[in-house]
Amino acid sequence: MPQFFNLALILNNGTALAWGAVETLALGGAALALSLVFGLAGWLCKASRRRPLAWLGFGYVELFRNTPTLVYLYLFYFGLPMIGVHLGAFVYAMLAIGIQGGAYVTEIIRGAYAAVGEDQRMAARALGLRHWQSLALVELPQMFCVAFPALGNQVVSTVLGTALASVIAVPELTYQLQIIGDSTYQYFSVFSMDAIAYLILVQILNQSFQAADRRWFGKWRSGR
Amino acid sequence: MPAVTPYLYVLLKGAGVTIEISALALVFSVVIGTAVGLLATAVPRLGFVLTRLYVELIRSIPLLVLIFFAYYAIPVVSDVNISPYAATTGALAIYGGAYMSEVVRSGIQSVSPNQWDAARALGLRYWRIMALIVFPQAVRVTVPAGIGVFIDLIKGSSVASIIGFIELMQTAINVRNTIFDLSPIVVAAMLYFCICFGLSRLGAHLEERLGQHA
Repeated sequence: MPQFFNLALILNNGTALAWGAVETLALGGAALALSLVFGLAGWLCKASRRRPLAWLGFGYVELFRNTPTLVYLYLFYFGLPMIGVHLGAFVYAMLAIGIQGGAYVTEIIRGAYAAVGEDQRMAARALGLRHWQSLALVELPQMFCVAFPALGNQVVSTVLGTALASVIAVPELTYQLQIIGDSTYQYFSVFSMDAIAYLILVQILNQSFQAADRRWFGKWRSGR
Repeated sequence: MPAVTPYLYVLLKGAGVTIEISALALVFSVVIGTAVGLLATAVPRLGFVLTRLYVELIRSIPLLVLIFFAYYAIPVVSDVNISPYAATTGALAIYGGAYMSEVVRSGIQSVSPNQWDAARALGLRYWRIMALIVFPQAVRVTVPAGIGVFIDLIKGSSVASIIGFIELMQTAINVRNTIFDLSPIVVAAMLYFCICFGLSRLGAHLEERLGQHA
């Protein structure tokens, strides 16, 4: 008979849970790294003066922001082995979540670039800085400051997005707990624990981002 | 992709189910979002704390886990048997409601406090101010942002395929399992794109038009 909340069941499967959490964070971290690379590349394309590149960037962002992650998860999972690329479920999930996340990161970087403003660029030019010097020394640090809270949200949604990887049997949190549920029928305990685990992970991430934000950018943020 | 041609009608029907369930969830989200958004702005301390808890809780849990919870966990501890349709609608409504309440709250807060003062000076009560003065102005902010929530719900409804609810995503997988070809999933992606991109254009258009009267 299933119980309301079976603490013993959760404690007995503590190792599976811990490994699930590690896998969730590993997949989240890998997908995030990939999405930063794709985001930067996407922004460079979108902001390019060359028309075809700009269109490519635009197409990338709109395509991935207007389709569900599952589509890409299945496309990579079923499609890559068909063309002879066998990489394992973890990599397929990382590619799907990372490339889609890149579209959102592109928009975060674009927003930050727009927020820094033309007068900063002109001031840097007036001081005799070259284009790339102005970008590296003047604009990028300010863009990072502007984009930091949005990047924090992106980290959280990437970690939450990894739950979908359970459908292609990546052994992350949701998958591990689903297996325990399938063999014991204690679905209430199992999915409560799953929700609590994500809640704890997300709270830790949110609090660390807020602390880092206060520490690094606190003096630049007005009205806080 | 000729292999998928006989199944195009099935996939279109799947897209219809996706739109239906997302629209239903949107209606519930608007109801929840309006109630929670009003509570957050009307009741100073308690309302703020309660609504923050709800919004933060839902935004810290993956949609998949909400759907699993509705579909697998609730029937275990109660006698209610929940269909995939009900589980999906319920989970999407609670999920969308959290985002919608933020939209409603920011819409209400986008109306200047001076408007409230002026309306009170004219002797209007809370509900009349809300209905006649604040609401018509808040709509300018809430409608474009609400369309964004609708897009999230349409994309989110694909997760329902995991509990076997046959919408666009699950239809595409079923067709793939029949013809062993990627094309149904590509067609599904194109259908999702047409729906969501169309909506996002509509949202951008409305934002511009409604913004002109601000």
